[in-house]
Amino acid sequence: MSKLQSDAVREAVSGIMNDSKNANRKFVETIELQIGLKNYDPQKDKRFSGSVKLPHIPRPKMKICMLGDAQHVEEAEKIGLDWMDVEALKKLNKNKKLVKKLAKKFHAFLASEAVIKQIPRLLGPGLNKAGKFPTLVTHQESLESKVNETKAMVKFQLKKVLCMGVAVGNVSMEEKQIFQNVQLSVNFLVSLLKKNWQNVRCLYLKSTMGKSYRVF
Amino acid sequence: MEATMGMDVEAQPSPAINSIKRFGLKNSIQTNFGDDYVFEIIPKDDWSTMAVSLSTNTVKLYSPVAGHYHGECQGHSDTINQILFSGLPSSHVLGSCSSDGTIRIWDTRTLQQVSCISAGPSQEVFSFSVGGPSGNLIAAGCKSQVIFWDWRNNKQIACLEDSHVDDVTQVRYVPNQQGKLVSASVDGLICTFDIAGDINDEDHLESVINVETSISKVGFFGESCLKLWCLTHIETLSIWDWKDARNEVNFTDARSLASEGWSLDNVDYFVDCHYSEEVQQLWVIGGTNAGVLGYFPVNYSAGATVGSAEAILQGGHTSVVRSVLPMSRTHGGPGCDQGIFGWTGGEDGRLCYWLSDDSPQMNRSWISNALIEKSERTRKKNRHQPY
Repeated sequence: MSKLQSDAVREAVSGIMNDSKNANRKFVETIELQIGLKNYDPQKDKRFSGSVKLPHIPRPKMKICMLGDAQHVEEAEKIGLDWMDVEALKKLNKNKKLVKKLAKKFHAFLASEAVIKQIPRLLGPGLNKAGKFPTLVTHQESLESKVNETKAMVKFQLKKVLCMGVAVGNVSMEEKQIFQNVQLSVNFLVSLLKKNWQNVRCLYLKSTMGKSYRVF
Repeated sequence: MEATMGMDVEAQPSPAINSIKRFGLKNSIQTNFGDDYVFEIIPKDDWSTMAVSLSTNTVKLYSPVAGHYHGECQGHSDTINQILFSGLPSSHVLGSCSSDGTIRIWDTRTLQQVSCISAGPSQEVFSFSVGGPSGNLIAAGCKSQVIFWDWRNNKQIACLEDSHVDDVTQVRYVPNQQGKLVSASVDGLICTFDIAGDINDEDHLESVINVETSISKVGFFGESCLKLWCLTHIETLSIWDWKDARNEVNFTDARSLASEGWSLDNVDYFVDCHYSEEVQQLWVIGGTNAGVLGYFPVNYSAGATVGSAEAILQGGHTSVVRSVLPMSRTHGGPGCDQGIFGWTGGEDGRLCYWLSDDSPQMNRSWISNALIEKSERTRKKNRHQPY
């Protein structure tokens, strides 16, 4: 049972969208859900950290590179996805600078099963160090759907303080989509808290440059 | 000791409800009189003592059989993240690692600190393990680094800092494999290192598994310990072949699956996984926020499922359970009743000791009712509590 008032969320999302239109920023603002916790002790209670897949992609401009076997390379070409095959990876010759450069070029990587096993040997820990070790793609799933799945994942992590933010959308999305993303992420996060809603002190929605709207 | 195994095994009816083993609280110890939690309970090799880490930044020692309090090891100035007995130089020392950045060794006879390794002023040690090719390497999971010391002289041997970008929550030497270490992190990666010889990031990273979300606990199991179970902070469970870095099963909705396996409240989190070599069975231990625990069998071969609860521990804890220690049958001791389960500890600050609800001499195996039939009268004792 959700304690989140749908109206409050809808109003907030509308407000954010209006503010953003009026302000006319030169970039697409991200919309963030800010959570303030209570009755939670970061030193004693279990760690609150993880990744969640949102129903609608919050970061459509995410650049992804496929490190693929022959079949995946072909698929990548078809959908206009950047790719590299094993030969191309070998050419990097485990050079730290080149691997670092590659890591910087993309937000995330996907890799075929046959390739992902070779990455430590071909590239060393360079992708690990950049926090961008590839996600596995099998041949049982469509490459396009895996790309979308990757784009829809957001991370959340509570550090030593009782507040944290999670990206839930951007101002170029439909209001309904943002609403659904907010609903799902809130319900998921609350399910991980031992006192559920009793651990939530407040919830705010905010766009990058805009003012924050309280929704709980 | 196996004599009673000769009892006739009657075929169990299919509905799993009949084979749920219920445990009742036999003893309960309040470890503190404040709001402090029990984090971890571990046994000494010979089971003469068990060590309990608390959120008071101390470790208390108790006897596993009677629950007598032996004393407290004080010294850490921040959260104790892990304690262990095994692999350490002598049989009466206990090791602990903490967010105060140190690994400390304690003499359990005198409760005094005998050694302290510091990872650095602003470091935190989340996990540690003792082993290595010559058995003298302490590996520690820190704030993205894996650091190695030789416990003989407390000298730092190596520091792997390129393989993770966030807190390393687990470091484990692979059982029976000299020189292989596995690390798991909040960054979602499980790395396998070859630590023979000179250890460095470039050449020693053997394989990487991307679990894609923050990892809480991992453990080896199966034949030759080739499999790895992995519990995450979003309460999902996955099973891997660590050598091939291959996923065998991914239970993304593990809590729902487990919840379907009993008629009690929803499973809110997982405490741990236990594996029995005897019956080659893996269980995931799920719990409710109210403190009820269940042992759910995990089937990871074709048709991967989380089965119905085979054991339930209810009526002991009133809050999240953080540790489960099943007692080895051979260390139950001659004076002990059969049907012992062991100890559990949680955020209510309690240590609970459980016995099976059935009469003590009936069932020696707490593992699974499906293996051994008991006398009919136990069936009539219907303790099933629908909610």
